[in-house]
Amino acid sequence: MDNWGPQFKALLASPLGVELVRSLTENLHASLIADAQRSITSENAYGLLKEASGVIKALEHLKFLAVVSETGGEK
Amino acid sequence: MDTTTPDGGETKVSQPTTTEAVTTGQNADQVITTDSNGTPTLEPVTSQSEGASTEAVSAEPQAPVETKAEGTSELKSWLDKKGLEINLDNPNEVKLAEMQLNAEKKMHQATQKSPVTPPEPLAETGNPNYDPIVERQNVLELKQYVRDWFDANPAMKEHRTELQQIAVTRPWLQDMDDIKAHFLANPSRESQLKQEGGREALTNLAQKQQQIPPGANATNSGVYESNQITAGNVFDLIDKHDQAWFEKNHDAINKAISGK
Repeated sequence: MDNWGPQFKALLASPLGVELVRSLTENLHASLIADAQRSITSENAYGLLKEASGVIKALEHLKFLAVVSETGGEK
Repeated sequence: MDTTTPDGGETKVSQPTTTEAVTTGQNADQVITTDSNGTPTLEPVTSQSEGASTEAVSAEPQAPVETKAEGTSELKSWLDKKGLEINLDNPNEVKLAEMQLNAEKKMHQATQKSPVTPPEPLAETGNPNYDPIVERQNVLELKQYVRDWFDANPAMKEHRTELQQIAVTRPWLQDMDDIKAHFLANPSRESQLKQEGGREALTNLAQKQQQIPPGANATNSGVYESNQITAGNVFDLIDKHDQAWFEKNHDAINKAISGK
């Protein structure tokens, strides 16, 4: 299996990566939380927070990919 | 007992009666007769009027008898079709059965849709002054026909694109019903429906599985997991738990998200 770690690390360190993380965190994640807090029904709020947690998971996975070693590694 | 006076006090022969023919505005002629006391009375001419009235009376019952016979035969055939048996001599049962028959007729009439037929195009006249108008009229009628057909077949509206493609690739089809038949008879459509049905079944299954709270953590061991909801673990906890847990801990989750 190819080791994409260095490439992911370089991506996250690059201006593009920084902007990507910022956009996901501040734009998408924050807007989902704000929408959840404005929701009228609990089902809607729960769904939006689930999506927000999904965004967090995606970011964490990106960061994990950036540090994974040649052997694959585990979190 | 008075024997000198005949029964009813009427004299029949001894006193003459005078009659005068009178024609009234109605068809029956009448005569003025004067009885024994000299009192004039108006009496109809009985010989002809009786014949006419009997003819009219005899003619009238024939019409209702005929319609009644037709209605009874229709009712009988309907009852046979439905496998029902009633006492035809009982007017109540007959009336109830007729009411049900009429209700079914009305239901069938309501569900029947008047067919939308394609318009007959007007023939070109060869006159350059009139032909553009004729062509425009044909186009307008065709558009109206398609619009009416989709109104009569609302289920086909979502397949408008496919129907258009069939119409373009098969220009010999001039009737929307034929185009619809081609669309429905498409063998690949059945397999597509099966795939969509299968996909929907899988989606439902996935949604059901998501509703089941996980017995073990998906990302990390749960050894160090805390049940306390903090800003650091709120989203992780939301991801792991269901909506019931969310509603139960709504306030704590709100505080954690707000950073309090």
